[in-house]
Amino acid sequence: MLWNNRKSFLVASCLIGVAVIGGLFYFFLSRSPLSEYIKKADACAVQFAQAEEQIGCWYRVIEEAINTESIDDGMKVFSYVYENFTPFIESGCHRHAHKIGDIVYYGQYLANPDIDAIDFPQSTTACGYGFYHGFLEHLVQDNPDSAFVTDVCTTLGKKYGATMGDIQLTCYHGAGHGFMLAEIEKQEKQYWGNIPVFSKRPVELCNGLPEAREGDREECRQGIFNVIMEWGEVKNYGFSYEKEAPLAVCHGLSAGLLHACYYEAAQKFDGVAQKDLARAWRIAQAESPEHALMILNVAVAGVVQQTIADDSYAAFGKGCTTLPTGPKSGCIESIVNGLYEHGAPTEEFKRALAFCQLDYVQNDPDASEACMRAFVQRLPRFYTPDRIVGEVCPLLEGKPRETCDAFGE
Amino acid sequence: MRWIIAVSLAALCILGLGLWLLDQLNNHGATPVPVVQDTLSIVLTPDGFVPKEPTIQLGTTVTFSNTTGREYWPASDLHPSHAIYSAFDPARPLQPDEMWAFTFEKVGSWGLHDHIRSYYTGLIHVVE
Repeated sequence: MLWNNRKSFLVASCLIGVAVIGGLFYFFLSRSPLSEYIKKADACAVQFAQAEEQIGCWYRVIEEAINTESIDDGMKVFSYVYENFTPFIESGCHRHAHKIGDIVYYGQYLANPDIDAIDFPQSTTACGYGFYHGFLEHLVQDNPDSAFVTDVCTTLGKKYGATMGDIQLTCYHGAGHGFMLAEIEKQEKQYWGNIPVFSKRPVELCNGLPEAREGDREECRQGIFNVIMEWGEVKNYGFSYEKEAPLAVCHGLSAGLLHACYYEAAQKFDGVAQKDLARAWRIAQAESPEHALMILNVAVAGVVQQTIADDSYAAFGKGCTTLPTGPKSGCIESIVNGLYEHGAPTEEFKRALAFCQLDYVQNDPDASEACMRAFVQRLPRFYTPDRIVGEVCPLLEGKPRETCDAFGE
Repeated sequence: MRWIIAVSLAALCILGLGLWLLDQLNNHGATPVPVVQDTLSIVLTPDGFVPKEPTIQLGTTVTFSNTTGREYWPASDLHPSHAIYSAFDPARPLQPDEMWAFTFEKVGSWGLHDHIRSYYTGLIHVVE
């Protein structure tokens, strides 16, 4: 009897203990901050029918996660939305990453104007460093000074350059955005739509960046033309471009600006060639033989952005193998680059590697070589050396593996 | 022994009830009740739009003004298309001392931003 009582007591105690611990575990897990934001992100998709309204709702959820928790938690919500809701991908995750940069600039930098006081997590490299384009364009819009920009970009390069390979270049690109945005309030309406007039002072600021390399200055100039082309897209400040001839906006510009202009205008070029790569190559050559390869490459990467949501870039990419050797390699590399720039945050390399493993790529030695070269070269742009060596290199063989392993030395 | 089990079960019930109440409070009780207004002035200050998240009645005319000393451009989200509520857009930059009025004729929660400095944001709830 005594044993039976003790046994009952022990069984009952164990059951209650398990129930209490399990209940508490479930309760606190379900109440963890991240799961709350994920629930809110899910609710956005139910509450709103239109894609733009859903996106606006997701921005607000991400903003709350950043302001209440951390930038990294906000980026985790960003990744969750990317992986689960196609409207977010289809509309271009780069521009959404811009928005996250806006949020952090307003919520953290303006509250304490010290860039060293903000810890930027690795996840902010997602979607082609769009975060930094947004953050820096406003930082520089509010401080349009070449010396200030060099100071900021050097600081970011020193602090994050080892793990975010292109942070300094990205900084100079964002600065170009900012120089241009700062200019709009100074221009009279009679000059609206006039690229040489609008870009004159911003280009001077880019060209005058102290201690910058020519590549940094070119990135800065590209940032200027990026803004001009975006204004053209929404027809602001008198700017516009013809969908059938976006490259025409560059005609008549001085030689020093042509590369930057073509680079940004080519991002609107995909509509011209209607995803026909042979046609795109012909048009690019006719426009400017000197810039044809770059125009094609940028246009191809742009198409990846539009096709990544349904993975149809794989069928589109097959057209690369029909091009002559030079543009073929560039075309394949651009698809890889596009997959990195627009791929799933923190997991970009997976789609890029899967592309290189497609039969039509592997069966073409030139294409395969170009693909793997671009795949490996792009890794330090997004990942820490530890992650590259520990997670990505073991997936590779031969020369790509050797090159990959070298990132850990 | 029975009383030990009974006390344990009672404690479990109380704990469960407490957690449920906490959950309800987090989900519902903490939401502030907005003040419904029939007229509204929104000012863009160096710290952002004030008020940042007002609630207004359908048909209310909201007047935007600015104390930043710079040009501004209040408009519907998203940036830069302004497509969610496309009529809510002056379609040009406003001078620093210029006011702009817009009458909200659709129920909903309308995100807004300054098109020139898109980090300034707000949300206007329009109710029946």
